[in-house]
Amino acid sequence: MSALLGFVLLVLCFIGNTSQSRAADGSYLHELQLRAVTAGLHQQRYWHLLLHYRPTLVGGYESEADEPGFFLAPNGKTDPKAELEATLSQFFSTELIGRSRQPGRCAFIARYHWLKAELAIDETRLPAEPCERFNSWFKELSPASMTLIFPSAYMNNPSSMFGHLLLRVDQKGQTEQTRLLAYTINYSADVTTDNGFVFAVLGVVGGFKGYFSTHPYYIKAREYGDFENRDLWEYRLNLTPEQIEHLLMHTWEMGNASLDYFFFKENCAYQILSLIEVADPDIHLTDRFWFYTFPSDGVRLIAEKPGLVKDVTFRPARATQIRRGREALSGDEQAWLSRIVRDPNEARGDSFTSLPAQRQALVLDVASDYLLYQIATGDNDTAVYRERNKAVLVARSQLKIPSVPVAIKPIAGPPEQGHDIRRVGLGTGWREGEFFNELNFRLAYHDLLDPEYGYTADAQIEALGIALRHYYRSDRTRIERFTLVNIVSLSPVNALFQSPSWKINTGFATIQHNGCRFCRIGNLNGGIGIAAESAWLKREVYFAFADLAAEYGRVFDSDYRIGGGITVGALADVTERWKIGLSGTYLQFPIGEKSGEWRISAQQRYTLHKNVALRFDFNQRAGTQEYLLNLQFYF
Amino acid sequence: MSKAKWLQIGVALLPLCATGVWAAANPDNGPGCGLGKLAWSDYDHPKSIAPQVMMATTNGTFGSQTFGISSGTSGCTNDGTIMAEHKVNVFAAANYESLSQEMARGGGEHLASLAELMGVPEETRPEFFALAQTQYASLVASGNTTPAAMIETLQSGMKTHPNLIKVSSN
Repeated sequence: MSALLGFVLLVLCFIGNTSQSRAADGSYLHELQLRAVTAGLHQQRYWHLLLHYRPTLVGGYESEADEPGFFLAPNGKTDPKAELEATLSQFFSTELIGRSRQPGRCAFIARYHWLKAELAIDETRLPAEPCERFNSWFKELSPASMTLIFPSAYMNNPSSMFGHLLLRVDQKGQTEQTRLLAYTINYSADVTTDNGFVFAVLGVVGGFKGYFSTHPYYIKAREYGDFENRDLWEYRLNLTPEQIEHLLMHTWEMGNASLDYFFFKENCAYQILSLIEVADPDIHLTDRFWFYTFPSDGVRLIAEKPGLVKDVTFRPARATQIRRGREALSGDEQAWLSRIVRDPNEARGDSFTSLPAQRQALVLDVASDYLLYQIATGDNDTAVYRERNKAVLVARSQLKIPSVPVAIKPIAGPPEQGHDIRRVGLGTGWREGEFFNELNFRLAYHDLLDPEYGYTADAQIEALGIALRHYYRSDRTRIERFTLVNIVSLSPVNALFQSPSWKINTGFATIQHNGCRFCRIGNLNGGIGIAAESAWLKREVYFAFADLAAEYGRVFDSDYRIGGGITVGALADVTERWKIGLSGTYLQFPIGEKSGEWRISAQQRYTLHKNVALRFDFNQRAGTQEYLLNLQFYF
Repeated sequence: MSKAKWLQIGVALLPLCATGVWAAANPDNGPGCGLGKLAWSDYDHPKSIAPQVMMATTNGTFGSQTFGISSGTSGCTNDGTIMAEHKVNVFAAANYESLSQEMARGGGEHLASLAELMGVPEETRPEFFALAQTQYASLVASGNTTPAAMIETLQSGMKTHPNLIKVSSN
């Protein structure tokens, strides 16, 4: 390549000196097109990255960008060569093009920059275009480095259950204290419906358009940290100034593009990774994904590239600050905290003001965080909380001492250190006097018994799980169960936080019922409840749910039954590696086949390695007992 | 948990990352430019309203237009970046609550960022923080607790401060 470039440069020195006039435009364009195609630039990875081309199954290419104005050739979406030639041709025009209405070389500045270098474009024959808008944008961003940001999972919004990815453009001279002022690069869908069902369907089939935007970090930090209570993980990337410039040039030209937004694959994580590939084409990120892109997998890919991540910073959400802040208080101080958030006048009483000023400040700081949390997330009239917060803050300001910065320890570990997302298990077990072997697979993501490090605590999301069993005595192999989705969100309550816990689960299961030994039924159930926690051993969580359940299967009289009941249970981390889960459910079905059923389960997990765990489960359902010893691998 | 949320959970199964939310109208009646109305604190029921407005402003239609890259001039942004003359006001409006808190605490990253935007040099920041802490009670006492009043209070305090007066006159 460099030899070719050298040769081209040499040739250009001669040609350039002989043609000063733009009258030679036509011939120069023709020459550039010829050289570009001869050099095979349209087949190069970088060209494909800039245009977001992907190989198709039939051997061609298709771009993932979906806005006609992003392509300069009519068939540019599927023809990298035609697009290359049309791009060069557009460079000779000052016509304003694209959604951004700029001359071709400014609207598609990354393409120009690259082709100029590859073809050694002679600016005496193609005079430079000033591109003032790009220059002032770039100056305003004032880039010094790039940081990948992972807002962790947010259980109470289905569109954020797996986290998110965005980039932050760290500014020159930025400090830990002023990173809020940096701009971010965010990719998100322009959602055009408020109907949940339409939202789901359009999201899956790519019915929304995705756009890139540059919100200040303080807006995103507030959105995630204050409103949604999502901890943020920040990964500063080791990119050269030149790589950063390439990334931002490409981001600028993506201002002309919209891309069909697909929930599962071509989502925020996928498109943010596609920008990082432009910064360094040698790292392959997006082609590692086939059917879905998890934001945490994106972080994992970035983190495993040697030397790519310079440092990792944890930025706690408001709720995390409150929780850790409260933990740092003594029992008496916690009691003060509870009183003050209800009646701030307590902070003026003699017994509180006789505490050391530093301790008063700690209590008042947590109190104000808590009141702001209520204002941002509360259902009730927030004016009350606002007034209380003002009173707390006036008391705080009168202490006349600055708050000591406290390092907040994360509640969940960094996402890239958690177990991998897919899981396969090999097991052996016993069911009603019969041995069986089991092979199970789960596409995603995490259940309450999986090793918790790196995952949001007390949150379970399982999607697309299947278990195959071979029974020895009856010599049959069958699909024992299938999980479409199984979500549990436990929110332990304490003196400050009271949110409901909830769960939903649907799929197929095998039961023994009405004399049928292996009967497949479809089930849908959900529940709403309450959870609490303690720290006797390490950490224990207790829960109780009111359940609703519907089951369908030919085994039932009239083919179905609908009912409800209650579930109580507990989870306990006995050691770092050993976790136990117990639960009991009673369901009564008054609709359809009238029946009642007890279910008991006792599960244990022992972590052998980040990605290997041993499980031992006991399940009893309507008198049918089953034991399963299962070795699970995450990959 | 509201019925609407259950509906969402039931049917909007598991997109893998944030996708923006239902579009909501952008109230464009703030001081100077549309973003001035980023004062989420104006809503009495933030849980039901603020997230939608927030999302609409940050992820949804407003986001793609106002903060859209190479999208031209819109309100107080230019190609997705905030114009210099609006920076202080937009920051104060978007972070009013955290700023109040940090004024009372006498420091913090929001207050430091505001100091940066107001041109307070690094070496006089401790004095700026101390001043902000003193000014907080008078801000509340004035009864006008808006982002604009907050900036005014800080600026008037700086005018009478020997080491900060130079900055405030800029």
